Amino acid sequence: MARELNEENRKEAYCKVLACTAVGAAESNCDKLFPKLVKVVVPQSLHEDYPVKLLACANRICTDEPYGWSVDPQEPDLGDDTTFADLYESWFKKIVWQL
Amino acid sequence: MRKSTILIATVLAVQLLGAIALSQVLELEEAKLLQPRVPIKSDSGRVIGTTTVHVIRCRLFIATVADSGRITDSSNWKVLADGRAVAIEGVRWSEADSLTVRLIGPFEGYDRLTVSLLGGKPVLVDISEAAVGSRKWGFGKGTVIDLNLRRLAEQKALFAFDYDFNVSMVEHYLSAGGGDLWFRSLSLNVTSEGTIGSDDEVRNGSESSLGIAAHPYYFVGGLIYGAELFVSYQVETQMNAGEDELFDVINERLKFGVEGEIPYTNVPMYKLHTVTGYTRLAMPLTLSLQYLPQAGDGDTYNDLARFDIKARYELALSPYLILQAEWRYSRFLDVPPVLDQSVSYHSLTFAQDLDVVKSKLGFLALMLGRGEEIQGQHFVFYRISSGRRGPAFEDIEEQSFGFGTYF
Repeated sequence: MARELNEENRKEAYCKVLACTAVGAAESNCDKLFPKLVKVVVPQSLHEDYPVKLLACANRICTDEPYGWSVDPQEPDLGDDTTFADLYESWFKKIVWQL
Repeated sequence: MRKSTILIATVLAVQLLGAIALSQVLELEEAKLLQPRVPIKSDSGRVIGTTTVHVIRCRLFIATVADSGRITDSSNWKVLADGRAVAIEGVRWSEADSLTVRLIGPFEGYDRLTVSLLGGKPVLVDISEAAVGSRKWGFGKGTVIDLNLRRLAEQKALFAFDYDFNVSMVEHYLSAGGGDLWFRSLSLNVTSEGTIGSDDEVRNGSESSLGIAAHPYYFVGGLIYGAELFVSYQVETQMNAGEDELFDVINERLKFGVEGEIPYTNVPMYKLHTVTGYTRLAMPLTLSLQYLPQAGDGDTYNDLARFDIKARYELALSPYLILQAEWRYSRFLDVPPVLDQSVSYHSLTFAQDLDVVKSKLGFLALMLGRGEEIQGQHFVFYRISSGRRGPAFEDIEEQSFGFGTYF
């Protein structure tokens, strides 16, 4: 069964998406990780490929069990000051939805 | 009798006013055609695969909770495709954004789509940005220019300028995304890698190429890995320091290659970062194999046919301190007796991110375990390198320190 698309589940899925892109974020520590993401800027060194990887991982994680959500095919825009928390608010929350 | 007529008239008036008010408040701001990936579910509700549907994502100026029912009623929406009405199969609110609505339907293959709500002004649907999965060509994406200026730690004052330049002229996104493979793109790339030194003792030369590359991504063990398959036309030069003709073209030929990130090799770093608690890309081991057919007479290393193998691995010892190892091996074909059949090259680089000055020293972070994220754009580095590598294949034994940046 698909999980309900609420804030808690969405944050959990986002942690898994970050883990999938191999950024050292442990999904089991998602509660601890989130306050930290607010101040962590996406490194410039990741900008080239990271939007593609994020979208690929979002497709992979969110459309599969246990979530079963739909994902718009939109890569995030990364600015010099974009934090991982910004990505959650401005990108991830908007592309994930329930059919 | 009269009372009920007044009552009906009042109800109609209220409904009419409500519709007018709603259409004014719910004016569409923008509409965009997308092809999202959606799960296919079995009768029991389990996900058994994925597919894509066509969606028009609409953004409203303002909406209230009271509007919700009318907005999700598909009869209040009208989509015209090349002037003809198209049936809307579903309307979905965004859970995270109370102003976003998705219309689901057979919207593919039209030149012009418009959408209107409650008989309001039609809004032209943006069909140009279907992003991944479209046939859209980009320009100037994936540009990386990497520059290093280094001072060789020798008796003499030797300087070298390394560069690595990679520009994707055009990129074509592919829609294949099923299973564990996600094709990113096909691209037309211009690349150039080389060293310009202050003396002949510095290994000088460049390899520049124009080529087509495919970039698949794939998933193994919960992590994503990338790869590149390419065919390029390459020009190799050697530098004549201090002479009028600064560069000699020593070769022109095709080359074929594949480069891939090796699964699981980044898991130890990934685990370490999980323990230390900072967010950092844990790079896997990258291996590349390329084949260059014979060019010219085939009597020197430069023009013999050869296979090149390259391995690169990076350890992020702290958020600011990186250790990078590189190994190259060239195996030549039909080698004249006076030449070795193979040569190798290796280097070890300690790179210190300059953002450390804004925080704490990298080696302290290594001991203390915690730190903030590396920015990774400007480095000072110390490098030990030894062996021979193309295109010059001169025997070198170097220690150098320098400044590196990329943008």
